[in-house]
Formats: sequence, C-alpha cells, structure tokens
Amino acid sequence: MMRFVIRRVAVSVLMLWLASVVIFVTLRVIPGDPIAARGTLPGFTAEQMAQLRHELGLDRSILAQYLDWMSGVLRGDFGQSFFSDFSTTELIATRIVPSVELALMATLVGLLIAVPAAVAIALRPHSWLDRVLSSGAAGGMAVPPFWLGILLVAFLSIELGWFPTRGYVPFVEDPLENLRFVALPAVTMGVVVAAPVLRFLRAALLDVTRSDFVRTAEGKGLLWHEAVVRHALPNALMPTLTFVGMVVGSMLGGIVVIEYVFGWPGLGALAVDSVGKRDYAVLQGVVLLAAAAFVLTSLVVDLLSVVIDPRLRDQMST
Amino acid sequence: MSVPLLSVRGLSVAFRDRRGETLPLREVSFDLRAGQRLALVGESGSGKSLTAFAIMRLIRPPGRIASGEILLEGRDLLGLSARQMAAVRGGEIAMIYQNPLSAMNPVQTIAHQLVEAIRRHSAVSKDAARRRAIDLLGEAGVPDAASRIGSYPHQFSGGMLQRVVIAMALAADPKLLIADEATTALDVTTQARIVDLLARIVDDRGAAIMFITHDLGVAAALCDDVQVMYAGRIVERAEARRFYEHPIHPYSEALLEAVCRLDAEPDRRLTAIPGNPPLAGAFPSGCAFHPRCPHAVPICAEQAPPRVPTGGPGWFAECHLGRERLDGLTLADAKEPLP
Ligand SMILES: Nc1ncnc2c1ncn2[C@@H]1O[C@H](COP(=O)(O)OP(=O)(O)OP(=O)(O)O)[C@@H](O)[C@H]1O
Ligand SMILES: [Mg+2]
Repeated sequence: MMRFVIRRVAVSVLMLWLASVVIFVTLRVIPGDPIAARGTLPGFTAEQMAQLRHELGLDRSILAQYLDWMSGVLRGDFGQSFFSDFSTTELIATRIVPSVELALMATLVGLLIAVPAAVAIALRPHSWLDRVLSSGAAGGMAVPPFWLGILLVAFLSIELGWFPTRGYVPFVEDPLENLRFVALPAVTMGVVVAAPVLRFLRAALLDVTRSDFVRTAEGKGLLWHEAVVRHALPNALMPTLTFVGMVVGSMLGGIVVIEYVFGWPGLGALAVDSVGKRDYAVLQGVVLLAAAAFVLTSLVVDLLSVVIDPRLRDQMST
Repeated sequence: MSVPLLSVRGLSVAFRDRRGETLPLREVSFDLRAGQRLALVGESGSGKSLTAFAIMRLIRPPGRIASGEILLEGRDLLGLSARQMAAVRGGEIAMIYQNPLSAMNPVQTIAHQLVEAIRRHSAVSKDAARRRAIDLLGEAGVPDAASRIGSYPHQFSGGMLQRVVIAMALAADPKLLIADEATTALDVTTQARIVDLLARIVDDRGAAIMFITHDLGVAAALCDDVQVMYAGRIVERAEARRFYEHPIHPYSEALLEAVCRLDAEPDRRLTAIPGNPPLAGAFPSGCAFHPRCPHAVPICAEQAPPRVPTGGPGWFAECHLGRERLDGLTLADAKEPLP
C-alpha cells in the first residue's frame, strides 16, 4: 500500500516536471517575446530593446533560463512579471482562491446534477425520463459553455435580477454574497461537468444493475430502488470517480472562458492577459499550476479509488 | 389434501427481442409440499433458472411472466404488490445462486450484506443481527465466522463463499429454498460437502428445497422427488428411486443412460444424448423431444403429448407413449416385484 502511494506520487512529480519542460520550451519556441509583444515603442531604439532583453535575461540559453526559473519555482518563487509590479507568485496567489472555489463549486454542481439524474434513469431505463435526460446530456456537451453562461445571465440576472451579472466577493468578506456571485458561473461550469459524467454514470449504472449481485439484493427482499441505490450505485461510482477526475482536470481549459464571461478574477483571466503580452513568467506559472491541478486531481482520484475499493486495496498490499 | 407449500400453475415466461416473442417457459405446472426436497434437472437452456427466477418474480426485462399462477400456501405471488413481494423474497422463499462470487456485492463486507438480509425481515438491532449472522455462518460451516465476517467476498474461496450465500439465504428462516446450481461452480469434493450441508439444513429447519442441477447424481443424493425439464416444459416427475430405476419418459431414460456412459468414459463430454437441445423460439412441434427420441411415432410430431399420471402423488410423464411404457413397467413389476 505504502509502496503504491510512493510510486504514484513519484509518477505525479515526474509528470509535473515533464509538463514544466514542455511549457517552458513551447513558450520560447513560439514566435514573439515580451519585448516584441509591446510593439515598437516610441523612443525605443533597437539597441535599447536589446538592452531590455538582456536585463530580463532573455538573451541567455533556454537551458540557463529554465534552470533559473525552476530553482525559483522550487522555492515558491515563480519569477517577476515583466509588466506588473507584482511578482508572479503574488499575482497567482490573489487569483488562485477564486479559481479553486469556482472549480470546486462547479464539480459539486455537476455531481449534484449527474448522480441523481443517472439514478433516476437507472430506476426506469429507456423511459421517457431517460430519453429527456440523455438528450439533455448530449445537448450539454454540444452547447458552448460561454453561450450557456450568457443565456443564464440574460434570464436569471438581467431579466429576473436574482443574481449579479458579473464580479466577485471574497468568501471571507461576505459568504452569502460570495455564493450569489459564484452561482451562475458554477452552474455554467457545472453543466459542462455534469453532461459527460451523466452519460458515463448512466452507462455504468445500467451495466451494474444487470449484475447478479443486484438481483441478489432484490432476492433478499430489497425494493428495486433500494437495490439500485445501495448496491448498484456504489459499484458504478468507482469507475466514474476516475472519469470525473479526468473531466475536472480538463475543465481547467473551459474555466478560462467562463471567468471571462463572468468577470471572475481567477487564473484563467490572468492567463489570457499574459498570453497577449507574452508575460513569460506569469504565463508559465499559470500553466504549470493548471498542469499541477490536473496531476493532483488524478493523484487524489487514484488514491481515493484504492481507499474505497476493497479489491484494489488488497491488490496493493500483495 | 392440504394446500401445497408451492403450487405453480400454467407458468409461462416470454422474452421479446428483434425477431419477436419467444416462450422459453411454456405452461409449467408442479407442486411442492412443505419440507419436500425436489430436484429440477435438465440440459442447459431447458428453463430451470427461468422457473426459479419466475417463482421469485425476478425475471428481468425483456423477459416477463406471460401467464400462470404461483401460489405460495394458496396465495398468488403474481398478484402481490412490489412491497409485498419484497417481503416474500428472502423471507418465505430464499435463493442460493450458481456463482457465489458474482452473487455478492464486491465492495461491501460479508457482515454488511448478511446484516442487511436479516434486518430486512426482522426488527432487530444491528448488533443482534450481526450476532445472528455469525451464527448463520457457523451453521453454514464457515469456520472462524466471528473474525471472517468483516471480510469482503473476494477474500473467500468459492466453496467458502457459497457457504456465505447459503447463510444469507437462511437469514429469515425461509420455508422454501431454491438452489440454482448451487454446486456447479465448485470442485467435486466441495460439491459433496455443500450438498451434505444443504441436506442437513433443510432437515434441521424443516424447509422445502427446490434443487436445480444438471447433475443427476447430486439430485439422487439429496432429493425426494425428481422433476425433468425439456424445452421449457416439465416432461416427467417422480419419486427419486422410482425415477432412477424406471424412468417413463424417453428423455429421462436418455439422461440416465448418458450418466452411466459418462461414468464409464474418462473423457467426459456432455453430448451424451444425440442431437442438441432445441432453442426457445425453435421448439419442435408436438413433443419437443421427438426429433431426438428413439421411440418416436408419427403422432409425436403432430400433437402435444398428454400428461400421463404415473402412480404417485404428483407423478406424471408427458409422453404419447407414457401409458404403454407405464404398463410395460407394471407388467415387469408383476413378474419381479419391487421390495
Ligand atoms: N435474457 C434472455 N433473453 C432471451 N432469452 C432468454 C434470456 N434468458 C433466458 N432465455 C431463454 O430461456 C432459456 C432457458 O434459460 P435458463 O437460464 O432457464 O436455462 P437453464 O435450464 O437454467 O440452463 P443452464 O443449465 O445453462 O443454467 C434459454 O435457452 C433462453 O432461450
Ligand atoms: Mg440456469
């Protein structure tokens, strides 16, 4: 068991390191650098721009720049933003809380939609409810999230005035307001999470409800819905957990757009800003963090699977 | 005569698929007295499991019970609400399954699954239910039950897990146990032990058992009566000794001969009876066995055979030649009377 955990963590660290190399190299290889991105500034000669590059260390070899960056990252210092007076670490620190909050709330909303819906389907497969919910899921996967976000804003904020259109209030300042602000972006992202999870869990549940042990459960006197909820659902949730991990991990791409639509001061918005400016340090930091979130999610999911599945647990200990 | 424990009347099960509807179980009728041990034998696909699951009302779509009555002490189970039926399942009728590993929930402990079965049918505390579960496991021959009850299904061997499944079936002290090939998945020694265990359990508790198997030897060891299925119908029923010595139906005869030959040949193949059992949807006309029957006469292909009483309570054979074969038997008996 311990060996599995250690190995799994080691793999995660390795994946992160690889990600850092890919991120770093990709950024240097694509054309343009922070200086060029400013365009030719009036009053700046080519000489002065070269001077600026030198000051920022951009004229050194990629390897030297990478080692420099990495040694900083390992100490928690993501480098200096080329454009802001704040360090990347500070920029990220102020943005990470809203992003993580949005991601967690979206996951929660997604599960609150997907799990009951999948159970309802499993109770009466191929019923009209199944058809409605399944097409809903297919629709949810086809609809661009920003469009859904705009729809929600149009109806629930502008039309009905129930929620603010955009913005953010820290939870520590005013928890209730915070929830009002997070509601719409979380629901939007939640639908993005719910749709594929519902499809996956539905298939898993329909499969598991046909297993012998669910019939055994009925055979000992459980009603159908009890057999589904107590026996089929836990078994169907195990493979779904891994899938949810993947969906949440890849949600980080979608979150950029949603943060923009809702004026949510998260990492996504920060990333978009820094891409435009080729603000290497910030961009690297954000993308590395996104990679870290993905790696961490799958690590947590894998460890959790082992904790809840007795068969895996035994496999690990032998 | 008093009401039988279980009385199945004209039970048919239908399956719907792309090609239309098939009737793998056709008008099955039989009785089971309280405490009686009945073997249900037949080749693969003859409808033994369907009979069992139909009695439990556990036929899954696209299958359904198309017609018939299932009377438990005179009460028709097919008329019960889902809730009433749930009280019968595991309460009055309990089932033991062919594959114990797939019959148990892989992510719950044995304790959890047994306690659930016990508390479903009696209002006892969790602790009391757990103590009872340990007793039941002990009765079913699981050594060290108190310490093993917290284990998961995959941590047991097949034979041990079958004992767990048996213990679970005993949770509410049912009047009828249905064992669907409860020993098929096990090795021969374990098989014998489980059969002994079942015999002892039904003896001790006075429960009836319907023992489904395609092993005639096991059936003989355990049961009072033997009932043979072929192509979704019961073709013969008789007391075990009589059945083994003088089968009336040619199919029963062929089955018994096949067993003898199997015993002789070390290379066991289950193609002992020439030809293949028919598939549901393609049952031959008249008597479904006629294409494989060495005694078939023209009428066998044309008319469904009558149910010929064969001399005992509930005994019969469904065969056009039943009368003659029975008469031949009584003639032989007259010359050489059975003890
Ligand atoms: N899910 C299903 N869909 C369609 N037909 C089915 C289904 N289940 C069973 N049947 C039909 O019912 C017939 C009898 O099946 P059953 O499981 O009762 O056989 P059995 O006598 O128990 O055989 P075995 O010894 O292999 O367990 C099968 O041959 C098949 O034609
Ligand atoms: Mg079967």
